Amino acid sequence: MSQLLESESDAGSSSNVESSISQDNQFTMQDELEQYTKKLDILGLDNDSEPLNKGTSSGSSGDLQESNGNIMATAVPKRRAPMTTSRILTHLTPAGDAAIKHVIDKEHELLPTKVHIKFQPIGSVLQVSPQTAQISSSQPFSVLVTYLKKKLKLATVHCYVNNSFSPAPQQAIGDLWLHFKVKDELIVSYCKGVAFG
Amino acid sequence: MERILQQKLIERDAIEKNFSELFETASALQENGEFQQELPDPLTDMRKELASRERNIADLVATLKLKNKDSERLNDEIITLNIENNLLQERYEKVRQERDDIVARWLKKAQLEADTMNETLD
Amino acid sequence: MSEQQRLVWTGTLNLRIELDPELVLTDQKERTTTICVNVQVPRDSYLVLYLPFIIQKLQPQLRVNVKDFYQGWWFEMENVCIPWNFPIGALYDSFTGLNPQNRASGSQENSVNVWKLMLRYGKQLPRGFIPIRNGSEQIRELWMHQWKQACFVMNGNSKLVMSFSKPDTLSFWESVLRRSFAGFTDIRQRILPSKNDVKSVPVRIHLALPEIRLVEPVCNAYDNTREVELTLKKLLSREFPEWFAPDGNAPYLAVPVIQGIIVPLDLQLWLLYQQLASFDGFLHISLCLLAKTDDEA
Repeated sequence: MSQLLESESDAGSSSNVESSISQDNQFTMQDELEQYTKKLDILGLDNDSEPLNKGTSSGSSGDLQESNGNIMATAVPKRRAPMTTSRILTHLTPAGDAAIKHVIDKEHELLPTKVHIKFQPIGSVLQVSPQTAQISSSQPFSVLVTYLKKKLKLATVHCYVNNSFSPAPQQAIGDLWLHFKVKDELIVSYCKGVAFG
Repeated sequence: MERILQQKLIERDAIEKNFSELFETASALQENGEFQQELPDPLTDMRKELASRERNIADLVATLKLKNKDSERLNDEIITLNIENNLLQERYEKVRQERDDIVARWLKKAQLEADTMNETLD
Repeated sequence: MSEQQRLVWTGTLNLRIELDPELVLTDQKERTTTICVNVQVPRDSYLVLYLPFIIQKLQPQLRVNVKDFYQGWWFEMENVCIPWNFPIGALYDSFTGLNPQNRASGSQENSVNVWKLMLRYGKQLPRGFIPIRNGSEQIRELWMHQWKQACFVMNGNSKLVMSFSKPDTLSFWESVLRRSFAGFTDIRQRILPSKNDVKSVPVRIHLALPEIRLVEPVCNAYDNTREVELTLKKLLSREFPEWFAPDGNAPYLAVPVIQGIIVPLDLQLWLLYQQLASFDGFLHISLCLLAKTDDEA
């Protein structure tokens, strides 16, 4: 970041220098001055670079990136248990300790399996393209809702599974898929208003 | 089997109901229907006042931050201009010195010329 | 309508709800005093339904005027946000890692069982917390969708619930608000299939350790031959072989807790569902890991 800014200000000042040289070859003192101001600018630039930083970070940290119907969401957020409850972990039997390690390892090693989702619009809502998408089975259902909101540029989207019910946002999409898939696809219908009250 | 469940539920309640009279039974029913703004009372007004004051403070803190930033910038500018001034002063001194030298040289030369002229006249 | 169902319905929790110190209206010097309210709520309900009651109790001490009894409020246990869309009893069991056996042996005549929570308020809700924009109506809708989902799991479709008349739907919800057991069971019985028709059992397993997680496994009531019924033991050793060793040689490292009691593993899941399922149509199971002291006890 700072490098980029430095090179930018370099370019700016060098063009200045060139123009001044064309005017008068002997303007060495102005050169010196410009060196000073340039250095000061770089010091002072920390403040100016803030909004720039924000801009780039918000651009890249979008929760959902999507290409060819492959929904990529950030890792499923870890939710820590309350302190006093977690204390049980330090009092486990050796076998319990081993089992906990095994569970954690398994979660790390397990490659996320992808499940297929089919989107169906209800009413006057546009069809999202692509109509089918793939998503990691460990993601919660809320990720799908966020995805549709972004795609359709709507403030609220109501989502239903099998034209029947809308699941809890925390539910893993993999669990839903296992329960309610139709021909290996989880059918998610969506609309602007409430469809199945 | 179902008796076991029943027994355990009764045991559970025995523990959870112990001293439960210290805990007021909550109700999910809102007697006065949906949320109603209470009649204006001094506390409500004071809270409004507090909220507006807190907003005020937040605004002022934000302004102060901005002003601080501005003053920092101005300070930087002063330093820059000071440096510029010093350098110009130096340059001025140098030029003045040069001019003085030249004037001295010119005077010397004029003196010399005058002297030679005087000599030839004599 | 059995005695067990009635006990599940009438079960209660003692809560001590502390007001976030940031929200307390007080002289700066006295910030150390905590403002709290002691309430008793049904285990088998949503805690947020009691927000108006709780907030009204705390209102005199609040430094803000209350604009909405639902929007912007949430509960925390030791800085961990409590989701509102599950029965509070199920959340209590899993969040506190409740081991009913330990609690029973540690309980004395003069001990009080209290769950300490903190009530917080802010424009920025904790990550993952569902905002309540539409008050109790939104809570009712979410709850109906839970029932539709449970109905789908049991019957293979949601038609039964979706074809309810408006008055039926409303009286179903009213029975939850008014804690009317008779009114509730009347309508619930209409959704539950008969023993031979049940497809799967709506089960939700709550884990608190190593981190908070919700698992909703597929629990077909019968195996492929339709002869063998699924038991809790079979389900748990299939889903959590680490805790419930399938071969039966190693000792089990956790216990299943439903409605605040340890349930025998040999029971059929469908029977457990009928007796102990919650008011949202799901059987909520909390897995409690056994600590060293539990073994000795």
